[in-house]
Amino acid sequence: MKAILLVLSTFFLAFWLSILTMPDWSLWARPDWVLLVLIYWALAFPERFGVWMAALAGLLQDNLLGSFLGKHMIVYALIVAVIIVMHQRFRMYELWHQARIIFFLVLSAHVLMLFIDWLMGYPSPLYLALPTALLSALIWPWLMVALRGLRRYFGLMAKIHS
Amino acid sequence: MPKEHKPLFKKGPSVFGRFTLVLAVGVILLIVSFMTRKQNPLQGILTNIATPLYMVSDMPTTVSAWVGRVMTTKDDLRLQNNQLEAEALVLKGKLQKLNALSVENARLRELLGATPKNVGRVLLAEVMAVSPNPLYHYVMINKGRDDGVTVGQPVIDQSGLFGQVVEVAKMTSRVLLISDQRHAVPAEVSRNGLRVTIEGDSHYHQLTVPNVAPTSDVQVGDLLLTSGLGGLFPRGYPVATVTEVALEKGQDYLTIKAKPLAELHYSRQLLLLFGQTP
Repeated sequence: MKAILLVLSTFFLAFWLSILTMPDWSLWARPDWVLLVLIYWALAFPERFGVWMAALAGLLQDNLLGSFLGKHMIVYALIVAVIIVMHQRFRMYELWHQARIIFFLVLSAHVLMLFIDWLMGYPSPLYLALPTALLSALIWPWLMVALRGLRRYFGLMAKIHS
Repeated sequence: MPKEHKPLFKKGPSVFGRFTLVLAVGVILLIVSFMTRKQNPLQGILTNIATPLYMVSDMPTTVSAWVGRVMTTKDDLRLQNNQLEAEALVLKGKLQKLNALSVENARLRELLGATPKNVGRVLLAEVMAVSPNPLYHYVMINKGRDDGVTVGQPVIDQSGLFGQVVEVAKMTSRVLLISDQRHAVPAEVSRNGLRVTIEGDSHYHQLTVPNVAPTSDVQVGDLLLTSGLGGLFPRGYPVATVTEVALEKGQDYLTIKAKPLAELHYSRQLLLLFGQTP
């Protein structure tokens, strides 16, 4: 129960941060909060938290951001699937090494989303994905440490497998 | 020969199996939203779920507006009151003229045997959230199905056409702005009645008017009104003024830019139009 509440409240915060009204110049430079939180929980509980949750969160994100239903759903599910496959290696990396991987994951996610936009008749230059990826990577170490602290504070332990 | 054991833990489809399923559902959803203009029922359910989030995201503005209201001084209020009274006087004066004109208009229409123009009611709505993505131009408003809002309803602000309702949930709805790339308005030049379409361009301050022949009479400063063609927007609402007319080399049509009259970027109070025949 505690676990569900904690996970839900982190998602609530992430969704809120992703629709919060911001000044114009910063619109393109918004970290992908929802994806980062998804990645964190997928790393912490890869057996229980996975592709389905990512798809659900993506669907809600599609609605919140007014994009075509299915765009974030597909891309978030893909990134979380990749994270689940590599979670044992990923956990061993140092924070800045992790941030580098996060950069490439978020970048490919957003390039993919811009590509879907283009397919649906919303052409826009691909470099727009860059600031989001960069900021997401810069925020990752802090977010990781903060969420880990929260998780341990509430006594939720990740299962260790052989 | 080693005996086959039953697996200790039940396993569902593998990670990539699950992803393939999500991919299939997602592609179907994308195709559906690409092919149809109708509201996807899923969208309404999701918006209902998201309504509390929109309310919370709106809170900083609501709180600051409230603080502003509480903190205004008496002098400010007095000044504002004076301004409003003066404005009301001017508007009343204009209204008198308008009343006379509409009576005259009705009489002339009677003489001509034309059908009377249907002037419907309006509903005041407030913007709850704006699109966080600069590519998509829409706002969420605080009126929904419970208030009788329907998909396709025209929306205006105090100075011009704002957009149309594209999605309705229980207590909120989504309004697509005229500046969105997907949006086009059938319009006419007020000076000579030339029919044009005004398309969105992902800029809040600029719209484009495509496919106008080089010989057409369009000038900078022309006012563009809704033409009522297309059956969605009622006739005669101001949309934009022409800011640029040019014939570029190698182009078959004029390049025309127009500035929207509605304050797409600032308006917080919007009007939903009901039952106006185009």
